[in-house]
Amino acid sequence: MTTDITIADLDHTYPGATTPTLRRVSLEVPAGTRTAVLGPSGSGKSTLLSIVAGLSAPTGGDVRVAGHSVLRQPPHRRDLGVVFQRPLLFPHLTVAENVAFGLRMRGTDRAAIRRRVAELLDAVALPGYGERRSSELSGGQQQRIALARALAVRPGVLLLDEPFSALDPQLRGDMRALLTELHRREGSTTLFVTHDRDEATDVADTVTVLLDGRVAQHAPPADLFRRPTTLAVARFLGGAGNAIPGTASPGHFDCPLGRLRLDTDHRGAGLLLIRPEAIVVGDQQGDNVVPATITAVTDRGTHLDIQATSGGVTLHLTTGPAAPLRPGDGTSLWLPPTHLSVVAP
Amino acid sequence: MNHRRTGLLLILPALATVVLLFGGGLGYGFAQSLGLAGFTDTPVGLAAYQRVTDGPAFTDGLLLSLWISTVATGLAVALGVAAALALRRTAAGRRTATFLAQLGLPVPHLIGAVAIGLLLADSGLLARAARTVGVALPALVADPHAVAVIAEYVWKEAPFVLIVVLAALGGPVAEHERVAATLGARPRQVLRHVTLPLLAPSILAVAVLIFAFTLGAYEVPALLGRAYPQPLPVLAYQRFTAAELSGRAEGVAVALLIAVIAVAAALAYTGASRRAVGRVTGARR
Repeated sequence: MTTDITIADLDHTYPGATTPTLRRVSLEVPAGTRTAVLGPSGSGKSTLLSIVAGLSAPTGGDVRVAGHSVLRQPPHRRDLGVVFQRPLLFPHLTVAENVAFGLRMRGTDRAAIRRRVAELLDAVALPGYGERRSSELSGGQQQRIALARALAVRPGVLLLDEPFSALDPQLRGDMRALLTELHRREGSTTLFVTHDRDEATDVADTVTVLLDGRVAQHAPPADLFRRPTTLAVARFLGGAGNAIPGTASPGHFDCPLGRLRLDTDHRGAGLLLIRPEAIVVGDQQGDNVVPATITAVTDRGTHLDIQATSGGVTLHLTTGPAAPLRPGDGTSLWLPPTHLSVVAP
Repeated sequence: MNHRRTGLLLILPALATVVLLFGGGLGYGFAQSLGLAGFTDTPVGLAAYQRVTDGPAFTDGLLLSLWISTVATGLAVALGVAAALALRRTAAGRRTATFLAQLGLPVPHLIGAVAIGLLLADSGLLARAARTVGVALPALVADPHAVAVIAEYVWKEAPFVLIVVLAALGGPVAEHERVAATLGARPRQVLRHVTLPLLAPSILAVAVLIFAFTLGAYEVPALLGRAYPQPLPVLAYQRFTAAELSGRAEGVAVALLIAVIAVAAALAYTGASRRAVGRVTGARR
């Protein structure tokens, strides 16, 4: 039922463009998993998806589904479902006819179509909406129907292109939960593209960061935040606020904060990265505890943004909103080794 | 209430112009056809209508008019839609389409009719070319099936259809077609189940325009048609300019009957298109 996707050395350049959209992009999506391609606009992520869908042709490389190259197959022969940013329901058909579309094109018999449509309308929590027109549905409902329509034929591969970014934030959360639930039921190998890091980390079990048409990092969501492999990835994920220059050696990093213990493959001059949320305020004993002076406190309501100096280095950190900290206070900061990473400067 | 009165005042100038120019002429013509106005010996009443509809000339003319309009509309729509679907994919195709349309649209029908006459007449280019290779063509101008008339209308109106359909294709149609393809629809299925249903309202609108125009146009059948039967517009003009005093009333009567048929066709279209648009937009009636 499920199908793995292999993207191998994919190159793509738009006709007449000087810079390529994709450069040797390789990616493995094991059968039945959910992978997010995360990148800013212009990173080439939508192009990547449209190549997998068969709506664009690459200038080099290969896309294999279940071990076979699909590049020569037109979209209707590829075993896939696609959900786009806009629902794009067929306006001349009812909701049920929209969901049934793929099955009808395959000549599935009516009774089976009716059963499957009812099952999917239940699954997207819109039972009884079958006879309505798509224009009578809200944006979120339309996108749910678009999801049901893509899943109706039980495709081996489900592709989603920024599927929830046109919805309001409240709805987005619900849709992510629904997508995860549907994936559990239907099991289609899922590849989805987004610029929203919360969406990527919420829905996917593996995230590929695409920057300037290159795969910058491919990792489970937590690792991405804890251990960005480059400064660019850290910047894109909002984790480059603390970048402290120094020198890495096996198990250690020497910088103005002192000798910190950590685990890194980097050697020589580098930048130490630690996210503001990972720094612990208090007087722990042990490794990687540095004395610091609070220089600024900004109350954000949900948390405090704090600046502190230690050894001439300014550190940014956040704490809970009730932490009793004021500018001028002396304190100690713990930099947990598992949250430290070193990247090339 | 106040709002409504302001609105009424605002449309008054436009309304007055339309009523005066359009309604005035139509009303005066109607009065003439009833023998109520103009220099005529027609008795007051429906005598003129009775005289023109009496006998085979009117029936034959009506059938010929309907034949010409129906076939010309059908062919122009089929050709225009097919060309639009074929040409839309590439920028060069769209340029070609625009060029074709610009070439044909500004040429008056009268000139078009003369050109078609020169091409298709018994002594025309086509017949002479065919003769040199030993083929004798049937009569195409002033023939029983009004081939030349229909050819002229199709030549003129197909580019018009092309432009309208290309504009309609510029909308979200292409996106819906892509979705259909990813859902497993073969190209032919995409055309049948997505493209044509989405284009239906535009196609219907342009079809009724062409049908109504060809039903009422005079110059092309006058130039390229036969002496008998005459399509209704030619019949109307011929009666209107006849020597008898009664001819004027009869001519106007025929013209008004054409208008009635055209309006009936437009109403039938409105019903059909509202159903089609309803299907497309989901609007409740």
